[in-house]
Amino acid sequence: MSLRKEMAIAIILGLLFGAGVAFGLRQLPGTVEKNEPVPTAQPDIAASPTLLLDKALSLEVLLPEHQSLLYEKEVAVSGKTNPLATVAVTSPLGEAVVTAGEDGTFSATVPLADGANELFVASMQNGNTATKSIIVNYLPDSL
Amino acid sequence: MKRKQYSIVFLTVITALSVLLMQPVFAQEDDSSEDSIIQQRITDLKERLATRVAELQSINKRSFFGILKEKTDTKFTVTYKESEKPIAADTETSFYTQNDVMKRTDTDIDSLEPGQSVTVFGSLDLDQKTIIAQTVIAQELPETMFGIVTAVDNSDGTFTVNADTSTVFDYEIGTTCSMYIGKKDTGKNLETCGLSKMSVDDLVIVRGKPDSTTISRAKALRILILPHPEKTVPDKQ
Repeated sequence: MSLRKEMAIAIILGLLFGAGVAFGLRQLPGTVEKNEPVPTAQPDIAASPTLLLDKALSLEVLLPEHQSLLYEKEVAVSGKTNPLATVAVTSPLGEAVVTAGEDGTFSATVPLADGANELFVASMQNGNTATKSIIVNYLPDSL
Repeated sequence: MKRKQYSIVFLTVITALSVLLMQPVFAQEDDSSEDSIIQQRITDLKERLATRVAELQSINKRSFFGILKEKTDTKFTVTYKESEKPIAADTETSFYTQNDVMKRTDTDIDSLEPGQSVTVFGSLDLDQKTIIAQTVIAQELPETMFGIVTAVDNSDGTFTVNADTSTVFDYEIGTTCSMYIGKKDTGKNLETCGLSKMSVDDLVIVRGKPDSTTISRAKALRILILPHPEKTVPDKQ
């Protein structure tokens, strides 16, 4: 076999091998995607239950006003939400749970701490929730 | 007859003298009654003025909680979310620091630092914007979280609540826990509880003090365990 013929065969074989490697590399990402590990039942914070606040449930705190000055040791929190919804009112010193009336109005009394108090109100009904938070400031007699 | 005439003259003179002498006395009585009327009117006016001043002071009374932003020796600004209040302090202003158990200690304006939470009690200045502070309390409010319990570890004394973020709460001796039990014959619908009563999937409102060193960890101060929203059934009243 002449040298020229051997070179031609070597070039053809090299081209065939190179094409094969190139084809293999091109197919590789698809193969990797197909071989993705199946998700296991490991704890996932993002997948843990999260409370969804539903805007369909209305909640309005009418009294007391935000940043109002109060002189009594406790305050009646009143407002309006969906009829017969369960309403929880909390202050730094206490909690109260009431059921809204047929017209959606509610009122619950909670104790106050000296100085600023965050009053947190949550309305709940049929899997829906709505919340509101206001600040009131209690000035005790001693000040 | 002459005697009778003398008697008449004498009586006439006496009567005339008496009238003349008594006139200033009656006049004095009139003056004093006028004075007392004027005095009464002044007293009434003073009382009405004092009442009106008290009413105006009451109308102008203000309080504001927020974060101390800027401070000079006599003025500072307090902000809460989008609201901002200019505050003026003077020698009459009292400053206190209040801890978690509401124990107050005296302090002064120099001890306050920007970024601190303060509650200001006072009255509006003539500009109707600035609060002239009478009392300033430096106090940190606990954070409130409304979410679902995702883990309870009775041995470790912790529970995890998932709301916008997931927070691990330490249940301590001073932690107060209440559970909603629905309307009972006693009229009470809340019952005192402990960590053992808490279960995964419970809906809770927790007030806690964030841990200064560890993110997403807090000390639970008060807990209210509520029925899960999907199970919420209105009370029968």
